[in-house]
Amino acid sequence: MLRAVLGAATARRPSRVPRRDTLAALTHSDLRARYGRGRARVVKWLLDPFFAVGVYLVLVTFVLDRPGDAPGLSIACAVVPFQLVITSIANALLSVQLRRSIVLNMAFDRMLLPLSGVLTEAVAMGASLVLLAILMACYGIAPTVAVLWLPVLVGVTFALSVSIAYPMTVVGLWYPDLRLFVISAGRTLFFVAPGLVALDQVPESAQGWLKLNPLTGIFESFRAVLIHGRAPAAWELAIPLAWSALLLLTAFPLYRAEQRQFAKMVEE
Amino acid sequence: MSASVRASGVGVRFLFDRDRRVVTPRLARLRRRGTEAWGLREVTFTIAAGEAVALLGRSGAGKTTLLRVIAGVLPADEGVMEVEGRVASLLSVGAGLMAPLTGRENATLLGVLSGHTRRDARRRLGTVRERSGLGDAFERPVSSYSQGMRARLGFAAADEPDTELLLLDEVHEALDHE
Repeated sequence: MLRAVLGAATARRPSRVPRRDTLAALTHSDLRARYGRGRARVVKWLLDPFFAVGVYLVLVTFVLDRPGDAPGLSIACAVVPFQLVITSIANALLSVQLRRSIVLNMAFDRMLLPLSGVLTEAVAMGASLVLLAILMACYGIAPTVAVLWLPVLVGVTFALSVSIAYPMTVVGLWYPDLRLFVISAGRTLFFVAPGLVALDQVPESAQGWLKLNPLTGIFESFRAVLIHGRAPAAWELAIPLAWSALLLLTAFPLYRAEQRQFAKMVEE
Repeated sequence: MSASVRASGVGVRFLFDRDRRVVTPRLARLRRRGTEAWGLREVTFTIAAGEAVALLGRSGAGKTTLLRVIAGVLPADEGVMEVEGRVASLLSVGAGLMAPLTGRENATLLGVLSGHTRRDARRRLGTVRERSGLGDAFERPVSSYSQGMRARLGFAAADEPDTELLLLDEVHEALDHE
């Protein structure tokens, strides 16, 4: 027997379903809805970062003439994790609208929506990790034991993406006209971090400020592990994690309160 | 069957900004100037187990809003709505279906969201397919369905043997009489 008391103060519906099942179902449907099905989807996931890195590689090595250590891999170390962050933002901004018919039809655990969106994009990121291995081989860089840090780095990137996805879901509903602007603003984060060139190639006076950007630590930690074969520095993980904690602490309660009103916001 | 619904002074308020867009209470406080309208006010009733109830009223009277409060889709802004029993609902024209997904994928998703484990939801797929009468179309994306096919799939996915409270909005109009 299920019992639900829905009132001004409460709206709770106990569920027999483990949250992981709900999360898996939401993620699976999101993957289908956003990326389609079949071979074309996998090809797109593989080619996306290749094209993204290729553009920057041409820009940095030929146009700007600033070669560094394995420039292609260095850029990939920034582009691949950044893809997860920016696609999570894009997903979150539309996640409630995309599931409008479900939101209007039935009660379910809406707290899982942003998390399932990031999981969807993490699957896509998993495919693009292949690019890092290919570029390491191209530059003749042998993996060291430091590569064992890779799951931790992916975890930190995931945590940052989740912490951004919760407020972005609310922003997407509060300010639907600003969705494109928010994505553009998210992209600027890449350029105010050492995305195109490594941090040690940036003027020293700017390095301290750039470290405050949560993406800086993530980009540099991927480079440390994959290019320099060393463990990431503590700040490289601590700063993005601190941002994640701060964002979650402030945005999670807001999202929790707002998700009760989702059906009003997407009314037919 | 022991499902019941008890509403006591239930009200649902909609807040609007200057551009007449619906906003949440927090956003309304940020934007300051705006208006409000009550979709429901002072609604009190009891529905006992075994009863079938039809809501009649003019367009905009709040029938859909009330069904959504019962389903737990909308919160009551005042009063208390108490619902006992397993609820299944068909409240939107889209019947809770996502257009890019196939009938099978939608049925699985709806099964999990309505309280089944993934394994149970998959096990029920044969029954849902049969009851929907969609045949091979069950494997096609819902975007290729007519409104009637969508309603049949939504109904087949929602109306389960252990459903104690079935909420139907205008979507049933798209269903064939059988």
